Amino acid sequence: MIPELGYGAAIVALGLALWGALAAALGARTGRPALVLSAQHAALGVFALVTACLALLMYAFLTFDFSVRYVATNTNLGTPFYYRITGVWGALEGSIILWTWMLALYTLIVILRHRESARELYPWVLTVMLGVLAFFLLVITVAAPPFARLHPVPADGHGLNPLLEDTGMITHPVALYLGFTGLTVPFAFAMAALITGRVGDAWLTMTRRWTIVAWYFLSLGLLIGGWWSYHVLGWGGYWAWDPVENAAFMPWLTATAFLHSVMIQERRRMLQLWNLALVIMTFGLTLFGTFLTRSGVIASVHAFTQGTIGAFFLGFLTLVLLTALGLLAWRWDALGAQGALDSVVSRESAFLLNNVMLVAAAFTVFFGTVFPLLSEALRGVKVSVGAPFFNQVNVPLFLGLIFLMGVGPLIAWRRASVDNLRRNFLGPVLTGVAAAAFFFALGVHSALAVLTLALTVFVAATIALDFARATRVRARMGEPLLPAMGGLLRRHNRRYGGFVVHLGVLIIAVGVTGSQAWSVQTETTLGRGESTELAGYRVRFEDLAASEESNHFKVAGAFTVSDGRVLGVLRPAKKFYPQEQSPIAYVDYRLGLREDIYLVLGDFARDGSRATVKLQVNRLVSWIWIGGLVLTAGAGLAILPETKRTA
Amino acid sequence: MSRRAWRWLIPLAALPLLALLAYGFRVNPREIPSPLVGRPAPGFALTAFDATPLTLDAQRGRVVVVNFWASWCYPACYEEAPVLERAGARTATGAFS
Repeated sequence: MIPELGYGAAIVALGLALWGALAAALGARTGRPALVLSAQHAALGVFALVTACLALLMYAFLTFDFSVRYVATNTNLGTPFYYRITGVWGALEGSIILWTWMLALYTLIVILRHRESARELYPWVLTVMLGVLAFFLLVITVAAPPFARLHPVPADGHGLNPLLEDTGMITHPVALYLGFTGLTVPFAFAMAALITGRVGDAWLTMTRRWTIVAWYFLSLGLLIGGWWSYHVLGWGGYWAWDPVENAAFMPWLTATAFLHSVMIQERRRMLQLWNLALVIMTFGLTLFGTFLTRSGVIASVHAFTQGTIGAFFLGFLTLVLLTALGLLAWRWDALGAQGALDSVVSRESAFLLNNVMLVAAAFTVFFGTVFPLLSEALRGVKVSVGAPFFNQVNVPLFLGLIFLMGVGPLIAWRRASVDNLRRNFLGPVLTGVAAAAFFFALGVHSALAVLTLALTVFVAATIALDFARATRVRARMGEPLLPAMGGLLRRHNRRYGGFVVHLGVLIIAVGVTGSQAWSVQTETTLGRGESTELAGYRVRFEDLAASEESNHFKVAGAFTVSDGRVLGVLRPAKKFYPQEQSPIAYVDYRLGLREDIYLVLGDFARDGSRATVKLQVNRLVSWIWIGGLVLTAGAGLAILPETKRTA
Repeated sequence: MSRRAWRWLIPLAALPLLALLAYGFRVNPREIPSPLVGRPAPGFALTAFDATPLTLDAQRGRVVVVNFWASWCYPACYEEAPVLERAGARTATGAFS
């Protein structure tokens, strides 16, 4: 009964979404507010019904309703409570319900916020949001029904993919999906702007915060994904250029570009066409990402099962791209540039270059991701594109972006004078050069590492310089130092939120550089009581212990780690799940600001006399997580409503 | 107006990409041909369970099946081992795994 209710709710929601999309469009064309109101009610109905769907599926999971195929595949009687909840979005069908629910939630907030403020754009925004919702509801009802029954009903389910039994499963997909779905809002506004011909700044100012919100969640999702990979997968890395990681990274890059180019349109009335194109590109890339994950077209660790659903997504992607780009072509004449670039040495040009580099990075990632497909289609040769390609093409771009991060915020608009350049950059450049010399003297001889660290110091110096100057101005007006700083952050939250985000990126850059350049590892087989040494650490194999957990069997080794004095006992393990062919590694680690000790248990003798262990000392990885916290805090600061200036 | 007809090429530019993705349905990314098929196996020298040395060269002229397995590979490896052994015993020349 419960599954049928869920299925029915999805069908009714689909009908409502279709009606709402149509009614809002008709309302906009005919100018009849009653139709728009009806669409609004439909959207509320969709939200309520999708919420019901999600709740019913969760109920089926919590009650072990194995008559539902999706529940039987993704849970079993041993699955712990929390993972029965997260199991709801642990595979294809449920993940789409979660996605749809978030989209419906965003639609609801758009209605609450913009039904009065965006009179002309609003009906069309509603049409686009409901249209996208209708597509996902179509997927739920036709292509990947989560409530499909299973006959005969099995006594126990298959169980969740063990790699998903991690706290990251609660946060990673949720944050990532909030980012992905959030990007629908700026897209809807951009489409509304194109349809109504109001391609000026209104849509831009209204969606700016929406984009930052989506960007915040997308960044958070990517970072948690990196952390998950690092502490669960047992290879000691946080980013692998896996196609699906790339799929989440590409919209992040274009959204980042958009957040910057918005400022040029606001200040200089330039780049209208470019901004619309960026929003279309970003939304297109989120769809491309869902297509990649769910079509099985490209091999990836994240790929869900193959099925007809790929064709659905491709069809929708085609519809979206042709419609959006068609509208862009239709409004071409209205999108002429209104401002012009006065000088190459100016803030506009720094931002433009930043955009070019971000989009170039997105393009190279895209190219590398689809290249295996291209190669097979054109030459019939199977190839795979790995980290070396992505690193080679992206590292120079990212270094360039870091450099611009220092230049952009401080250089003058229009045309920077020599005096402006000297005033703002002489100090930071000298600091950067001094830092390069300092790190070189310290024994850092990799050119890439020295360059990255020097650039990082340069940018940090520009931020410090700007912040110090602004604080001094306020302090001179009689404000005490700390309130002056706080007031600055609050009053100019967008500018300083941006600076904090930049700081976070710098910290991440240091972490990435350090972990790439200085991490070391060894793999060895130890008898009981024997030790191995690496980078000043001694790791001694104590013993093995086996235990029966609720849904798996676990063999854990005990290893004493010391660096002269005993630091602690690490217990990496192997988990044997009955539904899995091979065991799942369970990593144990000791995190530190300077380095992490990271242990993975390999093969072992059944009597516990010997064990193979992989020992890694990973340098500066924690900086990535700290940088991530700083970055998201900065984005959070930028989201806060701007305070009215009191004179 | 015809002067700006080229702008309609913008949406059309998306078509090759979409066609490429559609092509993706026809191929299986997990099917990867091994570059080693049809090439001579690299030689190895190991110690057998009965402590006698074992090299690939010494097996020249016989059918050799090399099976890679691991102690923790359960149940697949446990199931296939006796099958391989039986197959070896049935072959007159004696394959080994």
